[in-house]
Amino acid sequence: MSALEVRGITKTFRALKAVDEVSFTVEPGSICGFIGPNGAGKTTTMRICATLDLPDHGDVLVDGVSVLEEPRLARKKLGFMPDNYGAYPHTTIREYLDFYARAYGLRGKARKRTVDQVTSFTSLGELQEKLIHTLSKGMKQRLCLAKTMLHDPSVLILDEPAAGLDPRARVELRELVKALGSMGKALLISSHILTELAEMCDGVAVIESGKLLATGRVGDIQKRLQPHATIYVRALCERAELEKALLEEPELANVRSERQGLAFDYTGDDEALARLVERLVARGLKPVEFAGGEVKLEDIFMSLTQGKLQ
Amino acid sequence: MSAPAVDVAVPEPRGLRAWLARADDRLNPILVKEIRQALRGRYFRNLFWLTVVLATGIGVFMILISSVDNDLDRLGPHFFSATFGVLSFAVHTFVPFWAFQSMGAEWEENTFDLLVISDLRPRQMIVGKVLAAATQALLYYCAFSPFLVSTFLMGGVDILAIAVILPLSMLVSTTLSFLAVALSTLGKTKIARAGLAMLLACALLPVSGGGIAFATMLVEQSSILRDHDFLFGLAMFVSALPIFAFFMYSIGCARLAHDEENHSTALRILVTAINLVSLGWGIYAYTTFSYRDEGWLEGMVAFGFGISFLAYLFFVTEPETFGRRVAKQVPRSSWLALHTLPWFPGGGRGLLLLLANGALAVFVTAAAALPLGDADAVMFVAALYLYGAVSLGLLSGIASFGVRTLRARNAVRIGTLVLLGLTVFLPALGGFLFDITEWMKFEHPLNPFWILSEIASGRTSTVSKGLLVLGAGILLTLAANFARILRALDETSRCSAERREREAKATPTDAATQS
Ligand SMILES: Nc1ncnc2c1ncn2[C@@H]1O[C@H](COP(=O)(O)OP(=O)(O)OP(=O)(O)O)[C@@H](O)[C@H]1O
Ligand SMILES: [Mg+2]
Repeated sequence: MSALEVRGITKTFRALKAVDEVSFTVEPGSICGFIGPNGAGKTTTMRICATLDLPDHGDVLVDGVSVLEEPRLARKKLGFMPDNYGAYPHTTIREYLDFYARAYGLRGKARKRTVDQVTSFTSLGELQEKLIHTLSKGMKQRLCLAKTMLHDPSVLILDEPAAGLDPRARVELRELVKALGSMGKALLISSHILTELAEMCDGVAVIESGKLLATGRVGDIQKRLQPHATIYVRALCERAELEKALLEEPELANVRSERQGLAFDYTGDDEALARLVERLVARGLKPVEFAGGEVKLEDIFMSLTQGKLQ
Repeated sequence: MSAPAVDVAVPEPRGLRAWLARADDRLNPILVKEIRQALRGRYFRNLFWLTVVLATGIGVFMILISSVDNDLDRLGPHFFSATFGVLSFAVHTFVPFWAFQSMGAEWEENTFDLLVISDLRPRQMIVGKVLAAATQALLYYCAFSPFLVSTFLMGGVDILAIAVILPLSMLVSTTLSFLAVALSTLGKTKIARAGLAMLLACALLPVSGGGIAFATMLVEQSSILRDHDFLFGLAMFVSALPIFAFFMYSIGCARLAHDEENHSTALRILVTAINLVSLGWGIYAYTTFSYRDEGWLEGMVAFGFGISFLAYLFFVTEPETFGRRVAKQVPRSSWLALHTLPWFPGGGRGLLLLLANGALAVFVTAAAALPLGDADAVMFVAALYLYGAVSLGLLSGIASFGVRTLRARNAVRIGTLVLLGLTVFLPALGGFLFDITEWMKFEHPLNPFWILSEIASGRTSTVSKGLLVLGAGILLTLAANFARILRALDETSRCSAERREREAKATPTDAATQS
C-alpha cells in the first residue's frame, strides 16, 4: 500500500481550475519532489492532502485512510508544514512544542521525551528558551519542522521548506529530509530550488496549470523525454580525428565540441557503449575521459513546462 | 538559555506533585497556551494593573468624600458599587473581548491551519479559549475580593447580596466569553472582524453597565432577595445563561469543524432543548402563579421560538443531501433513523425539525391549557409555528430546486428575512398611500406579529382574513417542500440500509481476522 495516494483530485476556484485530475503516489521511505511554476497548484494539492481543503472530486489516501471520510485519523498519520504559517510570538520554542505535543495527546514523560527528541533532531536544543518572535527565518522553519514531527507521522508533506534558508541551512535541511526518508517515512516536498530537490528526491511529480505533466523517477522521466543519452569524451589526439572516428559509429548522432572534448547523443545500450570504447582504443585514440551526461532536473522541468502563469 | 536536555532517570514524583503532574496533563492545551501567552503579553498585564489601581484610587476617593460629607454609614454600598463597577467592566467587557481577539488572532496570525491539522477538536479550541478567559476573570475576582469584602466590613452591605452577585457575575462573564468566541468564528476577513468587534462591543458594554445597576440595586435593597417573583425571574435568567452559552458553543464548534463534518445536529438538539426549557418555564409560571391572563405561556413559547429563529433559518437552507461522513452516521435501525431524521443535517429535514418542535409545543400546551379551558393558548402556539414554517419554508423550499452554491444559499437566507420584513412593512406603506387606517397601524392580514397578538388576546374573529392568508401560505409551502421532504426521507432510509449492508459485509471478515 502506498503511504500517500492522490486519486484524481480536482479543485476549482470560481472559474479557475487550480488542480485538475491529479493522481500520483508516494511509497513509504521515498522522497518525492513536487515541482511546477508559480501558481501551478502545488500548495492547493498539498492542502487537500493535509485535510485543510476539500477537493471538488477525487480523494487522497494517507496510509489507506481517506482524508475526506476520516480526516481525524488521516491527520494522525500525516505531518504538514505549510509554506506560510504563523507562530505564537510570545511563547518560547519549548512552550510552543509542548503545546502541540499536548494537542497530540502526549502525556507526562512521553511529552517531555518527544519534545527533547525533536529539538535535538532539528538542533534547536540550545535555543529552547528563546521567544519565537526573536527567531530568524531559518530557525522558524526548523521549529515548524520539529512541530511537524512531534506525533511521528508516517507521511510528511513539506511546502517549500527550503524557502528563505541560507546555503548551510539548506544543506542541513537536506540531511534532515534524507534522515526522515531513511526512517521509512514518505515525504512529499515542493520546492523551486531544483538542484536541492534533485539531490534528495527519489522521484518527482511535475505539475503545471493544475495538470500533472509527469511523475516517476527522474531518470525514467528523462528517458521518456529524451530517448538518447548524452556522452562526453576526451582523448589524447586531435579533435578532428576523434570526430571522424565517432561519425563512423552507429546509433550515434549530433556530435559537437564541448570543453576540451566532444559530446554526442547515443541511443545504444551500455554493452554497445563498451564496444565503442574498445574500438576507439583499438584505433589508438587514447580516450582519457568518458562520461555519461548527468540527468538534470532543470532540463526536465524546462522541457516539460511552458512557463504559463495562471 | 538552558542546557540541552539529557535523559536522566528522574525519580517518580509522589503525592501532591504526582497529582499536579497528572492534572497538568489533563489540562486543555489551548488553555495552557493562552495563559502562558497572556501572562507574557502586554494586554492582560497592563489592563490588570490598571483596573486594580483604578479601583484602589476610587476606593480612597470614596472614603475621603464620605468622611468630608460625614456620610460614613452609606460608605459600604457606595464603595461596593464603585469597585464592582470597575470589576464589571473588567470581567464583562475586557475579558470577553480578549477571548474574541484571541480566537481571531488564530486567523490573523495564520496559526489556525496548524491547530486544525494537529489533533485539536473544535470543541477543545472553543472551550480552551473560554477557559483561558474565565481564568483571567478569576484573577480579577481574586484581586478585587479584598475590596468587596471590606465593603461588608464597612457595614450596610448584605453578605447575601455579595454571595448572589459574584457567582452570577462569573456566570455572565463566562457566557459572554462563549458569545465572544462564537462571534469571532463568524468572520475571517479584516472588515468582517471589525464589524463583529463593533457588534460585540454593543453587546458587552450594556451588560457591564446593566451589571453595575443590578448589583447596586441588590446591595441597596437586599430584601428583594426574599421576594418570590424576583427569585423566579432570577432562576429563569440563570437557567437561560447555560443554554445561551451552549448555543454559542455549538455555533463556534460548527464553524470550526471540517467541511465534511456534521455541523447541524448539535445545534438542532439545542434548539429542541430551548423549546423544551421555555415550555417548561412557561407552564410552571402558568400553573403556579395563575398568570394565565398575562400570557406567560404564550410569551415563553414565542421567546423560545424567537431566539431559535435564526438557527432554523440556517437549518432550512442547508444543502439537501448528506456529506460523505454524515451519511455513515445515520442509525442502522430504520425505525430509529426515521425518528431521529429531523435532527440530521439538510434543508428538508430542517423544516421537519421546525414542525416536530411545533408539534411538541402544541401538544404540551394543549395538555396544560385545555383542562383549564384555555384554547387560545393552543391556537397561538400552533399559529406561531405555522407562521414559522411558512416564513422559513416557502422561499427555501422553492430555492431547493436550483440553489447549489454557498453564495446562493446565503442569498436565500437574506432573502427570507427581507421577504418577512416586506410582508410586514409593504402593506403598511400601502395603507399610507391608499389611506387605510388599520393597515397604517400594521393591522393587516399579512402581519403575523399582529395576528399572533390578536390570537393571544382571544380576538380570533378580527383576524379571519389573516388566517385565510396563513392557510394559503401553508398550502404553498407544502407544495414547495413536498419534493425535498420526500427526498430527505428517502435518503435517510437509504443511508440506513446502506449502513446495515456495510456492517453485515464487514462482520464476517472481522470474525475471520480475529480467529
Ligand atoms: N483561496 C484561493 N482562492 C482563489 N484562488 C486561489 C486560492 N488559492 C489558490 N488559488 C489559485 O490557484 C492557483 C494555484 O495556486 P497554488 O497556491 O496551489 O500554486 P503553487 O503551485 O503553490 O504556486 P507557488 O509556487 O507560487 O507557491 C493559483 O492560480 C492561485 O491564484
Ligand atoms: Mg505554493
